[in-house]
Amino acid sequence: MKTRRTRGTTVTAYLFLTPALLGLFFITIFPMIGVIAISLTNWTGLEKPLFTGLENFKEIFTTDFYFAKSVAATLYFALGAVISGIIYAFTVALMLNQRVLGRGFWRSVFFIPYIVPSIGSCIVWSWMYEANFGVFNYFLHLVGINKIQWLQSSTYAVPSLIVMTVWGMGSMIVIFLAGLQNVPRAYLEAVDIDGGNAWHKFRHITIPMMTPVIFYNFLMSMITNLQVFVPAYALTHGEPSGRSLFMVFLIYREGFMQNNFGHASALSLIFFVFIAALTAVIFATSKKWMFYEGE
Amino acid sequence: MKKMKYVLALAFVLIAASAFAAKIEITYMAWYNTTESEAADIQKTLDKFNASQDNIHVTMIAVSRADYETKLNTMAAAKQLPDTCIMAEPMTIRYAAAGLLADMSGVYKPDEAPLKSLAFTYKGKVVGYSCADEVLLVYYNKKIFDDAKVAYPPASADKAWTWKEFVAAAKKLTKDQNGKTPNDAGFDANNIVSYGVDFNRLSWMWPVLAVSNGGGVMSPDGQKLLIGTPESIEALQAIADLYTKDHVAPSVGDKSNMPSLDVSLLTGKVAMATSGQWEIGVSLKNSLKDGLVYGVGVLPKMKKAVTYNTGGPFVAFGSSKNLAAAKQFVKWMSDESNGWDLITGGIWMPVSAKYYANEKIMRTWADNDVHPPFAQYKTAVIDYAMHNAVQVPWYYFPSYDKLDTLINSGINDVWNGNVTAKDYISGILPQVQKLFDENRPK
Repeated sequence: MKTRRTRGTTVTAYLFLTPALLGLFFITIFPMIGVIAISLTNWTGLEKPLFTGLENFKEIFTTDFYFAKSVAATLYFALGAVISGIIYAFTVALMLNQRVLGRGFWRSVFFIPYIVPSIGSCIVWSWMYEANFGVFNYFLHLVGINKIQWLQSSTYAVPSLIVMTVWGMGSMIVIFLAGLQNVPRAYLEAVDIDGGNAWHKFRHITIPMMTPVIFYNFLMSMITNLQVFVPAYALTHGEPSGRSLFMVFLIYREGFMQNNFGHASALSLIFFVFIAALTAVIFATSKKWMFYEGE
Repeated sequence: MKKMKYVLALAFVLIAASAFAAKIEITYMAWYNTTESEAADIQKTLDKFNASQDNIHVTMIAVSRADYETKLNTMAAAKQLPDTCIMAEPMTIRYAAAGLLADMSGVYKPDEAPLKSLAFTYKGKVVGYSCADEVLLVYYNKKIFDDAKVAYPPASADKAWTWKEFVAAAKKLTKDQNGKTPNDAGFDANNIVSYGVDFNRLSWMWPVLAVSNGGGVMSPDGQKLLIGTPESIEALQAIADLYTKDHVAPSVGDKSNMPSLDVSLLTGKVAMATSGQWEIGVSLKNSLKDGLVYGVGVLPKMKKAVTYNTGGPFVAFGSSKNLAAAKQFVKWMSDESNGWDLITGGIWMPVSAKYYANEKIMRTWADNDVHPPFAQYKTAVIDYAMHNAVQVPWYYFPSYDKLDTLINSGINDVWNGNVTAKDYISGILPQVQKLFDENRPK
């Protein structure tokens, strides 16, 4: 039997939870139900929608000209950004974990890109990628290499966007750094006592101890980068030849530019399920390579 | 007597009330390109309208050009459309097909009607007229032509260069870093410092050459797809060859890094370039003070001399609660006197037939310091627009933007020489045909 005090506590808890629940309901759950409903129609936003059942989904998997291109572009970008991002961030974190002069300053320097608004950094990077006057081609010219059309070339456009994205992964560095500082010194000293060198420490202590942090960064980064939008919107508009036609940009273009809201909603649902499934797979396989202290 | 007083008092109240009666409120949505000062300029025009009206007051909704379609589509979905707006050309007929645009057929008297070539029409109903008449032309730097001893591009349609003559001229005008042309042995195509031509490869612009060759994107009635015809493919390949084979044009990448047209011509980066009439006021006039001496000519032809005409339309939405006032405002906006600075400034050409009636009237807007010499402008631009212009298909085809996006979805591979025009068009043709059939006015 609940006491008056317990009941009062419960009411207070619900009152505090109410704003969050309202937000969750109106900003997340309600729109999701709306997207499911719209995906079953031919709604253009201009005329009354007609119920079309699963027609949008069928069309996406059979005749949609852009879907396969977009999936390929998105996976290429996401895998490229995540893998290079983890290597970059982990390497920088390892360096920043050493006793280097001005360590606090360097930690700030590598974190700053993360807090720069993405549109702003896109514009600055587009100037650096500029073919005639950009800084990258200037250096290439100095060593006698012909200029490269970084953002206009089918070969270089997406890698250029990946480099730009990786540069902005300051938060990943901070998380890796926090993880590195939690690697127990006793284990590292044990390697010293056993006659091991720096590589042995890294390979057999640091990496295994860091696997939960690597897993977290990999998962979050994969989800974030699969949903890439800003570079395609601000710099390449899906070009050249669909190489940067990332899924979220395609959904935006179909819905808000070309009035195919039904089709766009179906695309976003498929994309949602794909990300959820991928997350589940990453979780399932992580048990095989992730090490938790105490397990 | 007392009764009389009441009647007089009532009459006074009624007169006073009518004098202070609320005006009919309408909204007008317009875009600004780069700075919000553009919106302030549009507001000045609206202020002029408001000052001239006793019963109507218009309020502007200014939207960044980059977000314009998104904003309008969102407003349409939320059933919150403005009363009037300037419309992006490719989406106009989609809105008309959805029944959202008001019929503008009866708004203009015969003597004040805009040119028929500027009418956006769906199933015989005019839903809007372009705010300006714009055509595609060739601009060139006279000094570069003089130095290379090459004749200027023809300034009248009957003398238009054939494609072969056009390419031959472009070859003489192209220079690598050693001063060699593509006709010389040892020409270095990787280090061109001055291109003979920049034939505009914008998605909606390049098909004008296909039209000239007897093809195009579709037939003028919007009923037959022509993009897959040998004529269209030949034209597409000819434009691609300018870079890949003839070495007279910049790559798509180089083009995207080029400065504005006036600076490209002034600095000799290109000797001639194709673009719209608006460049006279938007770009070319900016370099006159720096010594740019340019000329204007007609486009080269493959079979017939032809250019595209275009211009975003002013429209009124059928959902407007004050449709009559909205139409009145649209009509007022199309009146040349309200955009006179844009017209004499070389950005717009008039829309009403009366401004093309005789040379004296034409001189009132085209014979000034901003425009090229009138004799040249008249034949190369005005006569060309009157007799050789055909409409971009977005004047009559719903969802031309979707078709345009699909046709050009991988076209950079053609421009860069990775695939031939024939293979590229053959590859996308089934999809294009399907989309065309879905949207064709029936």
